[in-house]
Amino acid sequence: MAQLRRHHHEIKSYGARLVLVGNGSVAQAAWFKNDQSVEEPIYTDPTLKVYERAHFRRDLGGLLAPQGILHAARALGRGHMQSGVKGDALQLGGTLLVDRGGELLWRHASETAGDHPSWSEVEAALKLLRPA
Amino acid sequence: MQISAELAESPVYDPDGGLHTLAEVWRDGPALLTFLRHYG
Repeated sequence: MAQLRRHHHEIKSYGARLVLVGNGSVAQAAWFKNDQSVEEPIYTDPTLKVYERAHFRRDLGGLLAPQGILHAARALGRGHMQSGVKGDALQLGGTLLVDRGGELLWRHASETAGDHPSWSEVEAALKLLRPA
Repeated sequence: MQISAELAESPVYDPDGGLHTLAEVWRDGPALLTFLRHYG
């Protein structure tokens, strides 16, 4: 998420806007917005239904997979310290690129914790909207 | 491929507690939606 926020202006240059969706309570979303100085639109679904309907993984295997543990170690090495889980501990995330009108152009579903698409993957998808 | 109506019509809340549907996000233009694992 932090990586995509760093590319906020490039995302905008392709005509898209970055939107964050979380799964905690409204109060937790408000806390996160303030704590992380989030300027992008942020929404939350405490029921997890949007995650389920987007077919994002929610199970213990995704958290305990060796790749997930490696991702966590790398994140710690980069100084990304979790300050406590606010939301569903088992839920994994993902990324969707949706065109105006609701056409799904690209999708990445995390298979393990910390499994995020690279910026080059995201940018290749954004080029479907408009070549740079 | 079109986003399913079930997903598009899913209710989501903004940090002020306002109720929206997910489809509002892409109503005015393309959107890159990042679904977080959790906050914090």
